[in-house]
Amino acid sequence: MFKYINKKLRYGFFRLTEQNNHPPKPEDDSKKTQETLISGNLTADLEYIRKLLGTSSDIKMHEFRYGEDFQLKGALVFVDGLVSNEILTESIMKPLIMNRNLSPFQTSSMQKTLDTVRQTILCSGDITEKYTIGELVESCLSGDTVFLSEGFDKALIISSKGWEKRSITEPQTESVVRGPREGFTENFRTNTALIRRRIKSANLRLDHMSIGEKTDTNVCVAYIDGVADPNIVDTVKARLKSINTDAIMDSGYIEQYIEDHPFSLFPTVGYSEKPDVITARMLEGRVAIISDGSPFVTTAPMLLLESFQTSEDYYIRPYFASLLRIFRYLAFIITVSAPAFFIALTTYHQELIPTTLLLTIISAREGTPFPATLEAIILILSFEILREAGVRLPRPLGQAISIVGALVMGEAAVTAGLVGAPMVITIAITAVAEFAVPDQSEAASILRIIFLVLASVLGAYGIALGFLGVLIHLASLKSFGVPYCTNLTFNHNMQDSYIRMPLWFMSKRPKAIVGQDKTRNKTNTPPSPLSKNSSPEENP
Amino acid sequence: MNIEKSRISPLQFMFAIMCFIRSSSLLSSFFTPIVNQDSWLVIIFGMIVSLPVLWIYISLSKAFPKSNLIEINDLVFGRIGGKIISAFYLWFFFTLTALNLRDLGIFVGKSTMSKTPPVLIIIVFILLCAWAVYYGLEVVTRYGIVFILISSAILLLSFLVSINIMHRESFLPILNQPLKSYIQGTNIITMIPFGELVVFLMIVPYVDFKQKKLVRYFMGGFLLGGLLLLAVILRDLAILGNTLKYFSLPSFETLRIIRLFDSLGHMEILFAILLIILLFFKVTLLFYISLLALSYWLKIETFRPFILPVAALLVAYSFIMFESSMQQTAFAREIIPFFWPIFEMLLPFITLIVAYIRELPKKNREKEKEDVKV
Repeated sequence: MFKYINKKLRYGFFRLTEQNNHPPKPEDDSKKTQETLISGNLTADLEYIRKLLGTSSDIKMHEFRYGEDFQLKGALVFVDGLVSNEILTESIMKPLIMNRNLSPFQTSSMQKTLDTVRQTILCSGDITEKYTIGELVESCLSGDTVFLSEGFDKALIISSKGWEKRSITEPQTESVVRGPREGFTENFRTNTALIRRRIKSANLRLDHMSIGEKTDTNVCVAYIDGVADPNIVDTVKARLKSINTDAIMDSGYIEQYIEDHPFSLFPTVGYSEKPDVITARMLEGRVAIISDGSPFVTTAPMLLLESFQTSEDYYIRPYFASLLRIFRYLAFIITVSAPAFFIALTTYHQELIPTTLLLTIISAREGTPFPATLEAIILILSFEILREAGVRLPRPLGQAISIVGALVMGEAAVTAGLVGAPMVITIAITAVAEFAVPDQSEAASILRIIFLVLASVLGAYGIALGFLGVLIHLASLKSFGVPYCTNLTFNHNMQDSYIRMPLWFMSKRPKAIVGQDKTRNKTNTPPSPLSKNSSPEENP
Repeated sequence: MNIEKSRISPLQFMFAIMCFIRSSSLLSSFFTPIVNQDSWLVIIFGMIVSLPVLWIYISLSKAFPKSNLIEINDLVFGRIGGKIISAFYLWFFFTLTALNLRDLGIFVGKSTMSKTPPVLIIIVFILLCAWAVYYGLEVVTRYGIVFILISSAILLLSFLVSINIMHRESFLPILNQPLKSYIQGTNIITMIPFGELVVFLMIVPYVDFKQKKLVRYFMGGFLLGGLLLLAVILRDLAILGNTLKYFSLPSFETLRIIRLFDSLGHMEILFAILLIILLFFKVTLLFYISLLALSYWLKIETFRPFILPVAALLVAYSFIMFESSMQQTAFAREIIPFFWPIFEMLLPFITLIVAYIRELPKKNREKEKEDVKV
């Protein structure tokens, strides 16, 4: 019956969207343009391109003469700002104009001349031939230079991408004390290079596709052949292909289009801003999706466990890493349920609070006008608002607001007797704990309110029911065919779940995700000076 | 017909059995007043007596590895006979679910929510169970391991912090009660948690293990679950001593007594939450099994449309079942020992005998079934 409701919902949405799209889209002649061939008449071709691209000021069409006695007519089409001026002048213009040996040609020897231009004159490693105006415009818009010449029914596309971009910096979201500090940038090629640089295996695959009718965003599916499960790779590709939208602004768009459970509170597709995290996930068999213009790389499938892992867990020694991980689980539980427990204890189960503490709480709450639940909701709301304001405001101002919010509002509210100090402390702990598990902070903020309501209605029983409900929901989630909480329910690969075992102990990749290549290292032996020169058989 | 498509791992199955037995620790008041300080002995007797019963179950599921209890009945007793026998089981599963639901309602009402009407507690609870059942066996059994670990951790913790108030004398004198009461106690303990394992015959076909390992996991779950139950009773007995028999929820009282330092007491909230979790597991499993049995009995493709109607029936049934908890305890002490054996021992045993006489399972029939499934 839940499915029925779900279906009804989706069907409802579907019908809405259908109604919106009711007037059929005017069929533009883009398809025709795609197939128009280059005529060979330079003026006509340029006129056609000009008609297609309109009067944009950044589109440059440079006509020039070259070859023996400047008898040949040529033109370069490029987008100013997208191409590198250095490449344009040094590798394209200069060689073409300086060359004096290229004689005029007959139509029959057109290909020969073109090959000569391509092979002996132009100084570029990436030159392709294109036949239609559509392809030509497309590559021009993605930053390549198009070379047309009178009499050629083909165009040469010379790679000359060179726009201004942000350099590689330390990511803002996932800072570490120990570990690599470089992060992805908005530039697609830089991001693929960052991954390629870390995995020098011949099996690394970066399959390209483009999504979005208008934006035509470059998207790359990165995985390690053999390590990744081919079924998952195919599913990812199929889902990417089925995305039907006109724009991809960020990898967040892609995440929302391909996730398994769009109505769930929990994310079923992961992301990271750090190449070391992404490559580590790829080495566990996951598939990474790099999209142009976004410093966040998406990974799938996602397990719940991933939210509680940080890259640093693996760079420091296992004891402290395990301790930190347990703290993260605790922090998640606290951030979801601390206000709920406080409400349940103070309103339903006062006898469970130690007497001295109970007296403190009572004296603190003496004179506060609102019921505890309302108090908690007001505080949670004001915290969320403060956080949002702090993020959006200009940085220097943001700090000022935080100080005003934290000190003035918190302190003043307590002294004025509007809220009790224990409640402020509870909400403060909740708020701080949320940031220990940043991946789940969206889910946690909403779950916290649900738990709060449950606790104020049903007390501890409500909290227990809430936990069970969350557990049921988590058990029902799947990400690309992999159960969401696989490693947390003692199915397999427990060496890296609640605690992190030593690295040499983790000889198997996660069983639920991985494809053929299941083992990381052949032997499970700890590093020791003895095993340096002898095989494991001799030295058990 | 193949309603349950997912397969669970043997380990999940084993922990489901453990969790099932462990969640019966609430019901210890059914036999503690009968045998007093020898309650723990009775559990050991019960485990020994249960072994042949388990042997019946294991032989049945070994003989028909691909069929659940309802299908076995159809195979062994024929179409009409099978339906009649299965109807008994259906009633039994349904009653068990309602009984546990009632236990939960009463427990929560008594322990934490004394002013809330039990019907509200039960309705909210059964809706949650319905949600889990909707997703099928995998979700129902997934958290068995986690629940067992949490409950064992709490058990261990309570042992550690209560060593100072445990009394060795609580166990004395040993074996000085009339033989009759030992037999009665053993009977109850055999029937209530251990014999109820008959419900697992419904889900054995959906566990993907090699046949040889069935015994290992079934017995492993049974023994470990039994040991946990024994540990709970030992703790309660050591702390409460002779007063054990006066409490309807001994574990609850035990945790109420335990005090850690001067300020931290009242650990019973831990027990309450733990028990809600464990009972959730048990009720969900039983609810699922009832629905599975129902859908096989009616030969329908899916039980999903029946979840809410059956849930509503369960709520009603659990309320009209008894007029008071005294009546329920009396039922557990005096009627169950003679009534439950019909379902837990007699019927499975008859099934086994008839299967033996009719020389079932016929090899070719099993093969046919396999072919159909492929």
